[in-house]
Amino acid sequence: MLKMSNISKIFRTRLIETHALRSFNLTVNDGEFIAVTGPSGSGKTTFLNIAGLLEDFDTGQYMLDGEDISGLPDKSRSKLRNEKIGFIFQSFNLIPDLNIFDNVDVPLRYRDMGAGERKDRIESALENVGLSSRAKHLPAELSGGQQQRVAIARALAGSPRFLLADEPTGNLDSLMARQVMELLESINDQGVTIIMVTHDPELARRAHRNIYLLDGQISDLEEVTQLPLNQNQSQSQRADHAAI
Amino acid sequence: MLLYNLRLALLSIRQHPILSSLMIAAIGVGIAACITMLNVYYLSAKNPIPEKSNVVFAVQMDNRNAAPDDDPNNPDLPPQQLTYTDAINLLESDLPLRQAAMFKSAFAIQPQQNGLAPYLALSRMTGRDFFQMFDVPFLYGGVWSDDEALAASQVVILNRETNDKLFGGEDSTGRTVVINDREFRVSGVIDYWQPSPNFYDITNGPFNDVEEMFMPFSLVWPLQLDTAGNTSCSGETSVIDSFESFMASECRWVSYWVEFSNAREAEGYRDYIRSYMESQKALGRFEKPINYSVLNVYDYLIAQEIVDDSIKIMVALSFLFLVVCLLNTIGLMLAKLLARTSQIALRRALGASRMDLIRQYIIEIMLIGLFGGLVGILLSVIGLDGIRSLMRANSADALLFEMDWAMVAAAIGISLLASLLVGLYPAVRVSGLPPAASLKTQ
Repeated sequence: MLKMSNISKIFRTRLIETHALRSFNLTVNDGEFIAVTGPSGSGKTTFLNIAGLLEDFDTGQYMLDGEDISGLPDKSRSKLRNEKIGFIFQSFNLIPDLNIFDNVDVPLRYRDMGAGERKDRIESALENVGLSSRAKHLPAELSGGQQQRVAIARALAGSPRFLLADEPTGNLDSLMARQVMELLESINDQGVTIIMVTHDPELARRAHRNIYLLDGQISDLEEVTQLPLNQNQSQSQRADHAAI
Repeated sequence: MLLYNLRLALLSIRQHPILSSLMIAAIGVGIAACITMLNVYYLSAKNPIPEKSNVVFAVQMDNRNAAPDDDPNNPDLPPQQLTYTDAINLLESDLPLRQAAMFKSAFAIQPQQNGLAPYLALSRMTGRDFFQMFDVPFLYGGVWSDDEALAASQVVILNRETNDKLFGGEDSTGRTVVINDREFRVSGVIDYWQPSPNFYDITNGPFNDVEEMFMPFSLVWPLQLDTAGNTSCSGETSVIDSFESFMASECRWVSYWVEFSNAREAEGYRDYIRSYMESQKALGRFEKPINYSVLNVYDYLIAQEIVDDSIKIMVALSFLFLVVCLLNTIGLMLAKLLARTSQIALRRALGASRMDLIRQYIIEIMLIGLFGGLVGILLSVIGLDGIRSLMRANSADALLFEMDWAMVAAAIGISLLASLLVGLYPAVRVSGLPPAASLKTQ
């Protein structure tokens, strides 16, 4: 379970302060699939970075699987990140010099794991995303959708409990986006908790829960099942949010 | 993880060939300058007879005047050489395992072979023990006998080069060489031997060549030999008007070396030297307070400060040059890593700790440092070879410009250490960059 209580994050420069998150409260239960939406600058990515232990917060409490994150040293945070959290990025973030096999291998290298086990996990992860035959290819030799599937395989290879996805379909065409989304849903079905930041209302609707962020706070919290089913209603609701 | 990091380092070097080559070149040039000078320094200061340096001792006695202007540079250090009188007296002692008085003298060799003109050659006049004490290797024959030494026989030991010149490299034992119009029987030929520094004759130049031949010290009287080395005189020199008066004077021109079975025995010999000097002082010699030293080879070379100050300055300058090269390398490494911040952030996101990344980039720069060190060694060998080619082969000076294996190891060690220092700042800096910002800008 992931629980954030009164989390605040302020970015400061010499001239201005930007409140990225204000008294942010959220609990994500095991096995949930949450979509985080909101306009640019609303704090979506900051929330995701804090959730993924990539960024510190100023005040509040963050409990990840019952463990208080505040004040944990870098080594412990890195270990938690490595073992419990998987990341999927909009721009895939594959290492261009490494082939697909080695890209998936990256997070496993930071665990005390034997070569045999790593190989098994990588092959299994690539098989799950349908890219076993491309293991020796470089990322540049794959399509965008395939690269994103490699990124998903990399995130899954470490068997994380949480998958944090930042606009996972943002750089994909609709067909590939649908395939990736189906893949995420099947991963969620296997018990992995997914938090997905997206601008796409169609994708957001497929999540169990939709969180709308505005000015660093949760503006609306509704069950997906309560979201309007038709496009017009959905658009009108987004317009309402934008007007807030 | 080490192999993984090495693989990543090699990959990174391949992916950034220009930056990596610049770094390798910068470290290589710095190491080459540093190692070249360090090599010269090392060979100047190294122990020339390590297996015996703690049991072979130089004997020094201070017979200088009390006058303050007598050798003001070394008022407390006993002179390197002894008077002939003292050398002859010390030879009476049976305390040392081996002992030899010695000086060098110049002779005219008159080759009997057609086409070879007479030429001047230096000879070391010394005792039989010289060869065993200093582990001089023989190619043919051996040392003259005790009887020949006592009888001041005209025997000679040639060095290999002289034997090559006079006898075409054949075994010349028993054959005759005409020297100063006298016939000398060859008792042996020594193999190539060139201690560096030439510890047994520091007075005449620590990097001078070993003499062309060796003859019995006892020939000094019958041949009335002059020294071809340095002579320092104390006392009234105007009374020296003959060979006999020179021999009886307070002029110092004889070196004296002793060997003991073990270093402890030197203590008893020091007492002996003190007693000897006190007895001579009672006879009116040794005006200054008793001052002597019996130092082993290693301590003797340190006391004599044989490493030239200019070499030390050059070593310091070469290290400064290395520092400049390393500062450039820090900049290059930083540029290389800052260009990879997105990958660094990604690795952080995937679970790498700061220490994991520092380790990865330190290994990368150390690999570059290793390549730089190898380039430096290559440049250094080429440079030293070039200098040496301008000198006579196997001369003592030329030996200073030969790459020593210890220096090759030092070059690798310095390269790795330097690259570790170079890599530390960039690695620590980039590993501390907030990963979220770099991932966002990806």
